[in-house]
Amino acid sequence: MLSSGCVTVYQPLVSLQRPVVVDPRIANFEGQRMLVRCIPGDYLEPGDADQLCRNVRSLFTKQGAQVEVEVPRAGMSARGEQDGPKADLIIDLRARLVHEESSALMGVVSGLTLTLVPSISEFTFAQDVTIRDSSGFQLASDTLQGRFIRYNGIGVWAVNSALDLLVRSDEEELTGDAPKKDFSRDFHRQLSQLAFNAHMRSWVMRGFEEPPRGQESLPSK
Amino acid sequence: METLLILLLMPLPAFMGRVHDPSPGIFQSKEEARNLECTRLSQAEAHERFPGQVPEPPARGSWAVTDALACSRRFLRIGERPARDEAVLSALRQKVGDITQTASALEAGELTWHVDAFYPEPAVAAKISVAAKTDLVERGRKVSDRVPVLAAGDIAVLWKLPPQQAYPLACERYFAQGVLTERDVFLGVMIVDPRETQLHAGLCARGEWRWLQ
Amino acid sequence: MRPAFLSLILALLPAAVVAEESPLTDAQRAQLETLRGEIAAQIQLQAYDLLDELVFGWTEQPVFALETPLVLADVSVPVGFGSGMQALIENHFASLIVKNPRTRVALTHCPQCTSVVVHSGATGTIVSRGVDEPEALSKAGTLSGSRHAIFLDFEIEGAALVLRARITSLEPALPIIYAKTLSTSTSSPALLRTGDRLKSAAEARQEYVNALQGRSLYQVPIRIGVRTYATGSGQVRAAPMPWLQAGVEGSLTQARAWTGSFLVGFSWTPQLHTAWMAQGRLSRLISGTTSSLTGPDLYAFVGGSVISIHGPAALAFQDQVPDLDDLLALLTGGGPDATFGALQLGLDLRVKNRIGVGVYLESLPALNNAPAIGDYLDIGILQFHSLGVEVTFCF
Repeated sequence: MLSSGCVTVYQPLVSLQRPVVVDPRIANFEGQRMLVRCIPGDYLEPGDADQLCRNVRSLFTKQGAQVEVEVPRAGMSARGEQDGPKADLIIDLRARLVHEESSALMGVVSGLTLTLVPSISEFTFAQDVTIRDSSGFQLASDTLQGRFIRYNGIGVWAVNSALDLLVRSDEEELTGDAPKKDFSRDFHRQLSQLAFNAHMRSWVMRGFEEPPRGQESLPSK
Repeated sequence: METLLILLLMPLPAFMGRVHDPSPGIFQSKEEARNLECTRLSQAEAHERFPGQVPEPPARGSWAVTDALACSRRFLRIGERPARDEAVLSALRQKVGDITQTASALEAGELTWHVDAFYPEPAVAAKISVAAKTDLVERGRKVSDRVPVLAAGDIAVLWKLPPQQAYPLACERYFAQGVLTERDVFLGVMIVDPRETQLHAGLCARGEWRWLQ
Repeated sequence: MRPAFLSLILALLPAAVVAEESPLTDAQRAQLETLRGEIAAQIQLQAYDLLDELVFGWTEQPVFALETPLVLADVSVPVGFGSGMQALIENHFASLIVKNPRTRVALTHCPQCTSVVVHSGATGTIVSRGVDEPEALSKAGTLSGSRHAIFLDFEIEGAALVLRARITSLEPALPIIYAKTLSTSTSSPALLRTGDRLKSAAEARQEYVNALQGRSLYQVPIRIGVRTYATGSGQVRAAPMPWLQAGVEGSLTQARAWTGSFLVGFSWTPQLHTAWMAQGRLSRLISGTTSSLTGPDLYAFVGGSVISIHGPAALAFQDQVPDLDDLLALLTGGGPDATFGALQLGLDLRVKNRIGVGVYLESLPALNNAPAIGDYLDIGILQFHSLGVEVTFCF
């Protein structure tokens, strides 16, 4: 009873709500080779980094790219120098916690009132995205910041569920999977746009020539 | 019953603080929240910028880390202007600033700069051009408001070429026709693919075109 | 909690990427038009602000050494906006120039400069605005003595309005001799600057900070209130007591989030009672993190007081039914008295820290068994015997 009734609210802060032109449902990266590196840190556990990389691989594979993923452990790359051809785009993803807040007093009061009064916790995260070409030249970088506020309380859950059912449109719903879907949509779109911009920049800087294909060694990093 | 009432009223100060929370909720829709631009500031920075809203940090410091979330509402809601135009215009100062910084570093001599923008929407192209000219003048460069123009026949040919051929050829024609001289440099700002939201740039100097980004 | 939370977030649904927003319906367009009208008003004020800052900069550092005629060649409004704002900006700019001769700029009228001009020559026929072909205007003798043109460009970049101003010399090469970029994101909010008394952003900010700091940390509250007491089981009832209090109230910071006060009070009803009170109170702002310059502030407070009542009314504040000794004392002029402590919980609504209205409940622990005093609220651990309302004036 105490753990039921959670409402998580997602708010994009920086860059996540920027307008996007590229459509992630079409093949924007046909023939492109990508290496996605999800770098664990204080905020991103290796298991979560694996999950993140799998999702991002799926995102770009659907857009026609050939994607390899890597989750460096203890700062060491798992890929050997002779593993496979060069990647056209190397995408580094890092996550960090910007702000965290929760109130122990609210937790106590929530318990005493059997969650009629919700306990509130929030955190703001930042996802740093850096995209380089095969020679290590940085093509694009951005920081995507968002905020999640979690209300643990049967009262808040009941009010928002009622509003979702009776008042709010589908796009405005707050309960259920809504925060995950909203964040997922924003993150995928921004990542796709950033990768496309990086791809175009790389193409222009190569003089509009396609990168050479064939067996070549990996860039040393 | 009264005890329950007191317990329900106890967190009132915490809830009153949430009244100003910009996140979606009962009183604010997701769409309204998405039309805010929010940044996290330290309490000291926030007090500096908003002295009437954020108290000064305690002089003796505090055991708790306190920061502020400063939000300002976008003038134009997302969706009012086409997505690409909005993406370019929202960060115009930063995008153009990067370009002019690179360009003026490459050509540092006593040259007269000319700027033009090549963008599908003429109004946005004008904004990009004005932003680049203004930024170059502020960087100390000598800038002309005159846009180099080619003959109609040249334009008709260049129009059909892909960008990798059109811009270098236009650069050659500028110098061949005497529209630009050795003491002039032309900065072109453009997009190459309609799906991108970044600006590319190239420099035309001494008859040679060079892509900057 | 944090890693588990992140896992939830990262349970992304790769296929759940929605399409671009569908085209707007007519109702949505109408709503957007209404919103656009409201936004236009805000943008107009901020545009005026940026122009004030631009012209103020010219009064400090003029562009020209001598008074110079200048043509207002073009005012560009943000993409997506109509031309209605242009006229307003032109008028405001002209007004600023007229009121500030130290800018050394004189606006001149040159309709040909902004009109489309067709010029035929050896190289061909050129169709352009007059300012883009000054040699054509010069040949036609229509430059009206002005040799410089100013262009004002406004654009909305996210949450900021940006002004880009440039002055171009009207000669064949069209050199830009002055350019300035101003943005609302980096400038301080305006303090209602008037066109003939411009001030810099730093001065405006200092005035604002001074206005905040002009509010002293200490003030003297004068409070007028009435306390009523719940009816007890006895036949004697405590009458409502009016109070007049004065003291000192202070806060630690300009935010006034926490305030403390100490007041002494006096109450008198003819032939009934004379009473004194000493009260301490601690208040916390609950309507925000800092007190407002313009809106009301709501405080919640807790307080304690010691009340001493002399006279017949004090009989009601005793924990036993009055007996013959008490009545004898009353008749011989000795007068009953009662002294007790009280605990308060209440709310106080303050407007600009000058006037406030409060309501509170008071607990008299020593009088729980007083037959004349009942309770308004019993929460088990505490009983509230008294309800009070008050008006506070702060000096």
